[in-house]
Amino acid sequence: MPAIDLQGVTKRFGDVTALRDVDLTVEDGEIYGFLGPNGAGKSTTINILLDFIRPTSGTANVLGYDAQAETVEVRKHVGVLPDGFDVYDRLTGRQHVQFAIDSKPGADDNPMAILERVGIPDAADRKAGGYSKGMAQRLVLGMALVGNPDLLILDEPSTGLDPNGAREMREIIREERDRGATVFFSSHILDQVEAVCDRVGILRQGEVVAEDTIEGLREAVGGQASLTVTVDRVPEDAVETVMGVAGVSEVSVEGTELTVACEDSAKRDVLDAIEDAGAQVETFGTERASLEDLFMHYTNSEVVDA
Amino acid sequence: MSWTVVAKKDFQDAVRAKSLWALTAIFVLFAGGLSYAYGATDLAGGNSDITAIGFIGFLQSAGVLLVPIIGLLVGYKAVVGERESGSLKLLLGLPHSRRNVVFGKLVGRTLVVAVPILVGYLAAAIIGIALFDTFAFVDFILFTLLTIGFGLAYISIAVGFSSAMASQSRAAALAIGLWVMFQLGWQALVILVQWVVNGFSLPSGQMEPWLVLLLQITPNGGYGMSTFFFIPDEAFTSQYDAFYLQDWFGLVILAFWIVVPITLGYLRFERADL
Repeated sequence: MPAIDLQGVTKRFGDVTALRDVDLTVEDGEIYGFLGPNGAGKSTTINILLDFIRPTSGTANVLGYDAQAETVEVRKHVGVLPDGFDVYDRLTGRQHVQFAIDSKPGADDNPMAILERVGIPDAADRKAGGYSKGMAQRLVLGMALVGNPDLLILDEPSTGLDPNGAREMREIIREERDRGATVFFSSHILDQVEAVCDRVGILRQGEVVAEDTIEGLREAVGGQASLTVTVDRVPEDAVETVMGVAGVSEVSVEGTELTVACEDSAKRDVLDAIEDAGAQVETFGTERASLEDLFMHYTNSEVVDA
Repeated sequence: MSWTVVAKKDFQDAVRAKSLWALTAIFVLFAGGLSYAYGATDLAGGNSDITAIGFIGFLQSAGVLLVPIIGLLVGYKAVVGERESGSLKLLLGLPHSRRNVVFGKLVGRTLVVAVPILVGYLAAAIIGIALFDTFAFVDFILFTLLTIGFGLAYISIAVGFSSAMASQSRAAALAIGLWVMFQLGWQALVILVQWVVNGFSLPSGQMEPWLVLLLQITPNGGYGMSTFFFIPDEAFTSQYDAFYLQDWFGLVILAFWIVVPITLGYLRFERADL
């Protein structure tokens, strides 16, 4: 049974389509990174899983429960770090965690142990209204850990955390996975996802545009190279000529420099084509494409696909 | 029981915010002060005995002014305040259904008003026992409970608005609008209706029974009628035969205002995208 299963989920707010026919499966026990630029629909997806909003069409299942019809069952087994939350200003950190313990049937955690784990034991008896954004983030992560949930849903968990805090967050995510929990978290920053995820899904403008393991994505970009060529002058038809070379996906010109995204094996042909067009190649360099390029490629709508 | 967790937290929040103490002070000053004034001066009029029954009538008409405002103020932020700030996402991220959130809030806020009423009216009773010629304790207890029910009706209205609306300012505007309508404009409204259905002139003689019902159908009217039901006094007995103008019907009216607003508010909240 998958931990999360979305089938054909569409969500419209008036005329705006926030999610379009999203299919997404998160397997039991994996860390799943949900990537996409801000506004791609990540929070909308998570809000549907938690029944904060209702899909216009499609179905959402969480741990085998229908997210809309069996909401309380879902919430009993899930730990949540939502997006755009606010803490209770007058409650201390300890009281927040205690409230989560009181709310979750069967939870018997020690609030202090939780607060130590998320790194804010010193703030336990201070009112959360005075917490920094990062501390509030840690506190709510702590509340999410209460009751050893089967699934953690974390919306942009690193928000407000310094690099050290982000690293501690990743450690907790790994610990939870090793305990047997499934972790589903969203981010608009690739590094965070790359470092910890078993699998990622990339969302762009409300659509899932890629879903693979990190390895798989690496392989997909593995044969790709970025070739930078400096010439004496750029002939008028240079771009068209280079685009005509088999294996080239993208060409851009800046001054006398051409940047060509192409398959590794096409580099020689590209250089030949440039010279045939009448330009003198002065220098050239190649770089292997990174996952970052791929992410940019998937999420940047300006890029024209070849 | 998930709603008890919500209600308990809500009540504790009022304790932490000191609003429970402020409200208790208000009700002690209000009811205790009126009790003292009623016992120490000659408000009962002439040589008649100073009794708890007379005082109940006095306290009732004063409470109609105070309790609704308190109820609306205590209730209007209950749900929408958390919705606007975002703490509702923490609450609903835990195993609470939306129904339990609304119901728990209703119970929590009712306690926030019930405790001050109990303490304040107890203070009034103590002063009354000391100063009045007689004091009907049981009648006064019943009246106190009825007043809590009256407060509950306004909290139901306020929490209903709070659940139905997406912004705090809208919930506040509706609460204020309703207060103005029920408190200041209702009689004028009923007279206007009477004037219209009577062919744009005011009839002489007794009001039609259904118009009297219309006059009494607010929580305030229901509270007044049921006060007379519990504390029978010849002076207040209905002059109409219609069943809906007997004093017991005041309880039906109050029950309506306790059940319906919160239910409608919940139904809207249940369907909302948060």
